[in-house]
Amino acid sequence: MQLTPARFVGVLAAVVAMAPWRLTDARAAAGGLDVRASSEIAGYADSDHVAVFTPSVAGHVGNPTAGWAVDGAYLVDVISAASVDIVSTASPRWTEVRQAASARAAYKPGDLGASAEGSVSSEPDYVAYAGGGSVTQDLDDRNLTLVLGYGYGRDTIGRTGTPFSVYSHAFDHHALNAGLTRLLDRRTVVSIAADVTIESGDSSKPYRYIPLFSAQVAPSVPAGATVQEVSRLRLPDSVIERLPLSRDRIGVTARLARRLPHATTRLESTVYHDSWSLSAFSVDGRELFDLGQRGSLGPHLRYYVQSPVSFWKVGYVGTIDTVPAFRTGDRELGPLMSLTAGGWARWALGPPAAVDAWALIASFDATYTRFLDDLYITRRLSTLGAFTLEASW
Amino acid sequence: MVRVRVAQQLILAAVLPVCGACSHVAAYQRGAIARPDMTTSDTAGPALQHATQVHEGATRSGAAAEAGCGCN
Repeated sequence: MQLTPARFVGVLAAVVAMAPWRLTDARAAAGGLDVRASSEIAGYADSDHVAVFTPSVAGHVGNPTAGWAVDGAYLVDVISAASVDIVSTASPRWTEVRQAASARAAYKPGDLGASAEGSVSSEPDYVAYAGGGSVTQDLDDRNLTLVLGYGYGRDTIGRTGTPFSVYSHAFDHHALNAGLTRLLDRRTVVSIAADVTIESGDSSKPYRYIPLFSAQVAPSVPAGATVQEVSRLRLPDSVIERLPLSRDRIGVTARLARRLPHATTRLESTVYHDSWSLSAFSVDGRELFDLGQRGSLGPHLRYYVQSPVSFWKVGYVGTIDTVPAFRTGDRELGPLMSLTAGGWARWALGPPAAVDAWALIASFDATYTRFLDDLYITRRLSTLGAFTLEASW
Repeated sequence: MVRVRVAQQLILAAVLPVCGACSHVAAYQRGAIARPDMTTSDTAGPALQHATQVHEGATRSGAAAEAGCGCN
């Protein structure tokens, strides 16, 4: 039987879903196993008429004494969208399903360890495979940990309803990462990591059509111009999106976790730059307050800002005979800033002897995004809620 | 083995100066550090990670960032 992506994720989902029962039996036989399973159900909706429903499951089994661990995860995205980008092309609302699965195995019997991982994602017009590995080294009596990793991925982009053999283009990415984690004192740990990604291939969207304007009109096209305004100002012809065929990215992320008497503080910040001249900065913070032995509760804040790619234009100048070499309508490549505020709560449901054997987690985040130089919309409000059930043995 | 130890010492010598404020934490002093919420890994759930990848140009790459973008 041929192992297709759909079959692969189906088998992996079944394995992960049955993990708690199988592994409980396994622990009885082998002893000393750390077994965890979780299931999350999340819903997303935004003011641009996009809704996503995401159920997912994940499992972990490992033996801390022996130093090995295996993880698996599977999720489904059910997307329904009637965004302004779709409306502007006179297309109806569409619904699509994406399935994604990942697996990871790690072995670290002493100060030196290694891990390998793989993932697959499948939707009607996009299939992606990725794999990689990393090496970890503890130093200074495990006060310092270094990690070095590499990953490779290949994506195939097509069109819904058209076989990949008839129309598709490929997109490759190599990722290198290096980082260190350091204990600062008994209550504080920090990590710094650098990620370099080298992408090659055509990542342009086959559905994304870009309106063109005359040289006289283009400078006066206002940010946030409505579909009707764009239709009135644009030239009759439009062209498909065209992105550069290579992109080099680098990001540096610093994280800090500090334990206070009755709370845990986590901070994260990233600076980023790529060869398309997109620069970005983000800062993310969480405070988790203890609520007795069973609960924790706390706020979440995130701020993100980015500059546009070098070829970004709110109104591209051209005709059907002379078009810009690179053009995009992807507003996540334009200038934007966003602010996320939310909260997180966890309640342990296990018996007194093992309160964390079962736990329920609820989270909610609302994100306000300001698009600074885009057609159609200038802001978006999105909300995301999730419930997670965790079990451990 | 000797080469590995020399390499370890060299790496340690290169990294430690950037952490002058660090104090050595013995294994028996790591009760707070060992808490699950003291991880420096990304603790966002799969849905929040996905939403972040879709919404932020600096983190989006590959299939996870494509699905659910609502684009045409």
